[in-house]
Formats: sequence, C-alpha cells, structure tokens
Amino acid sequence: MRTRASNERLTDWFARLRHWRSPLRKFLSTHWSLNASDFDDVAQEVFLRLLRYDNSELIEHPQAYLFRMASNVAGEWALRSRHRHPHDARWLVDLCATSDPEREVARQTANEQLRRAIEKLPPRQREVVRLHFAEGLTRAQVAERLKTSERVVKRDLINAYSSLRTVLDAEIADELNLQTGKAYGPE
Amino acid sequence: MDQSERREHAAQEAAEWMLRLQDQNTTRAQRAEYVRWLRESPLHVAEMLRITHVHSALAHFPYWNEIAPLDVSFPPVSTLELPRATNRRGADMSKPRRSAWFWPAGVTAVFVVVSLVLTYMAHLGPQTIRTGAGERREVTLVDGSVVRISPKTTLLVRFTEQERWVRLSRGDAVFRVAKDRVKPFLVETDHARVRAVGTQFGVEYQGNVVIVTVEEGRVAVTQPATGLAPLAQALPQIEVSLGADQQIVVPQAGPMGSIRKVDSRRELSWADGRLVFEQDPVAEVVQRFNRFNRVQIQIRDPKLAARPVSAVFDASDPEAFIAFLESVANVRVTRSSSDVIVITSEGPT
Repeated sequence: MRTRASNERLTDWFARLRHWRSPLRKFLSTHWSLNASDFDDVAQEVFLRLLRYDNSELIEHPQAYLFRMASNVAGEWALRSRHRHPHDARWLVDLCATSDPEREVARQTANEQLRRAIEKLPPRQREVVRLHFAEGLTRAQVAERLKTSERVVKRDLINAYSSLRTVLDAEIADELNLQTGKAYGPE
Repeated sequence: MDQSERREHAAQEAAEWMLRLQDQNTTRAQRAEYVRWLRESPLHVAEMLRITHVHSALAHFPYWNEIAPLDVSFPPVSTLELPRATNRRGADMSKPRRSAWFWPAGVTAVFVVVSLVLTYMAHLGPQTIRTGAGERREVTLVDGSVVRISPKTTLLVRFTEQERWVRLSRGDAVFRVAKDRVKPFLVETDHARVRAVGTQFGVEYQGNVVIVTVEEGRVAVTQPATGLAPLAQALPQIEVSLGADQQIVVPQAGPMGSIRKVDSRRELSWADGRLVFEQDPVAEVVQRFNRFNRVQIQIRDPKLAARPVSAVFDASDPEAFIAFLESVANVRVTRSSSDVIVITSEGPT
C-alpha cells in the first residue's frame, strides 16, 4: 500500500516535472547565471546520494530522481547558506523567492546571450534546434523536413546542447578559453 | 584527458542521454545503464544538470521569432562554413567553436563530416550579425573579407555563387573586401546600394541618411528605386563611383549629395572605437557619443552646441568627453537618471 502511494506520488511528481511546474523548473529557471562551481558542488552531493540510494524506482524514473535530488540539495544548501555565507550563495537563497525584478533582468540577459549563441550555431544545427523547440517537431519530423536522417538530427542536437551549455555557464567558458589559450599560445 | 576534455566528453554523453530519455519507450535496461553512468562520476551528474539547464532555457526561450529559419528555397551556395565570427575584443564569441578542438576525436570527426556535408550539400540561409549597445565586433566572412561592426548594428550576410550580399539594416560597419572579380560585394541599406570588388569602405546610418566613405579602392553607389517614388523609377538610375578618401551622403528620399573629399581614416575611426574630431561642433560630438553608448548626453545650450572641438576620444567613454567639456567651458552637468546626462551652461560668462 505504502509503495503504491509513493509510486503515485512519484508519478504525479514526474507528470508535473514534464510540465515544468516542479521545483526543478524553479531551480533551473532561476539560475540563469549559475556558475560552474555551483553546478559542480550540487552535482557532487547528488552523486553521493545516488551512490547511497538503491531503489528500483530510481531506475524507473531516473531523471525525476536526479532532478529531485538536485533541487533538494540546492534547497538544503539555501537554508544552511543563509546562516553561513549570506553573500556567497545568493543564488541558493533565490530558490525560495518567487520573483523579483533583478532576476527578471538576469533572465533577460541570459535569453539575449542565448539568442546570440543560437545565431552562432552552424546553420543546420540552428535550424534543427529551432524546428525542435520553436515548432515542436519530433526528431523524425525534423529529419523529414530537412531531408536528412534522424541520426544526423540527433547528432546536431547533441552538439548544439553541448556548445550552448558553455554560453550559459561562464566558468566552463573560461576554462575552455584558458585551455585554448594554452594550446595555441607559446609553450 | 585533461579536465576540460573530460567535461566535453561528459557533456556529449549527457546530451545523448537527454535525448534518449525523452523517448517514451526507454527500456529498463537503458535506464539502468543511465543510472550506472550517473554513478560513475560527479562530472556526469554535473553535465547532466547543465544539459538539462540548456534544455530548459531552450524550452522557455522567448525570441524564437528572431531566429531566421533556414531558407531552403535559396539556391545552394558554394562557399561556407558560415561567416564565422572572430571577435577581437569580446572573446566569448569563438569559445563554443574552439571547444571543438577538445572533443574526442570520433565526435570531432563526425562534426567535421557534418560540416563538410553542410558545406557542399546544405541550402544555407542568411546569417544575421547583431551587436548590442556598446558592443563592437570584428567579423571575418568566409571569403576573407573583414567587417568591423559598430554598436547597435544589424547585418544580414548571404553569399551565393553570383555575389556576396550584405544587408545593413541599422548601424554602421566598415568593410575590408577581399578581392574577387567574379563575385561583387554588395552592401544594401534602405536607400543606398554599394558595390565593391576589393576595397575598404564604411557604411553608416546617421538618422535618415546613409553615409558611404571609401578608404581605398573604388565602389559604386546607387539608390535602389523605391515604390514610394514612381517618378524616381522613371528616371535612369544614377550610379556614383567613389574613390579613395571620398564620401557621399545618400538621403532617404531625393537625390544623392555630391562627392566630398574627406580624410577617410578620420571619418572611419569609429570602427576602431576612436572618435576623432577636428573643429567639429559639440552637437556633432554628442551625437556620435550617443550612438555609441547607452548613456545619452543632451546639450541644452545652443551656443555650447555650436562650439568647435578638436580632440580624440574613446568612443565608449562619454565621461571623458564630459570631463573635457567641464575643463574648457563653464557648464553644469546634471545626471537626471543613470542613462541621461544633461549639460547646460552655468549662466552667462
């Protein structure tokens, strides 16, 4: 009985997640300017929890669990950091707020950055992303529209995700830049 | 593998998982494999969260209507990998590109193949280049031409087998055109069309007029016939040929001005972020600064506005100009908001 109830809760949570009304959506949509170390710190803790957590439901809904763990970790840290590092972890504290103009500005900036980054994608990657997200086509439909294979569409999406993530994450970008500098610069 | 290569690799895998898990019918074995992958490294968890972040951002991206669809009706193009921006000042532009060097060889190979296929097969649409307030950019186009772009400028670039075509819909740009006798380089604005083969010239919007300035070589300037002026259409189209250190002002309506002899280096110095003035009235200096900056200066005193100025300024530093004004004239500076600076005379002197 208990298992069933928790299953239903989880299914319910998962359904909500799909509509982005979950804590995760909040987590993601409020952390436009989240930097690499924030992600890495949250990920480190989530990783440890994943290792400890052994439940068949994890395998049924791995994404749901992953995201719930991530928002739990972020939430717990927000509570703690309010006492310890009131300035360092502002973004964590933000989790609790619902909306404020400053965040709206950050979101605007991030969307602007994202727009530029999308425009800089190779043309077909850009078109694949646009068709998939703006027109809501499935990968198969995108492939048909562009007269190419689904495999190519998939590869384009993966590459687009991967390069766009550097735009939304200043520290990764810095890291790449440093690496590039090292590779090209005089030894 | 160093840290950044590992990260790239993890990001690719995470993106792959992201797509796989979106499919409705994942098997239990696949999901178990995914959990195993997550448990392999905190890096995997971190990159998965990042990819999800990107996914969420794309799902809620509000400006899709500004992203031009790929123009499949357009004839295939011979050149391209797209005009890839190389940014001298703001380094962020080329980063996503450069990351390709650190992708695992297999992925890079696939990417290269995809690019090649793109290069020869795809029907490529126009590329839009847009700069924000205070953002200057230098972009190398595929043919080797270099465009220096001022703040608040929008360019649309489309290269075909017949021509190199650029539309400047607002702002200013200086073009250093790579020589290609077969494919002319065309710059179109609302009311002027400039044709070049290999030369360096600037095109700028100043209010209702477009100013074309040639630094070297020759360009031909025409006014495209507009539907608004049936009379003009009946007249033969006038083509004006401009040489080095020559400038012409093309109005929105009516005939072009006459050719002026100018110091093109000075006239085009805005492309380097420098504003050079020689006996120019304060009003013009202010107008220039205002085009380059978010902060807008207003001069409320006609006498002051007419005063000539000779100086060189950094285009992004209006404060330097205000300090200059304060040092040479008796003015009062009022900052009515963070974006507006009003300058008035401090009474008769």
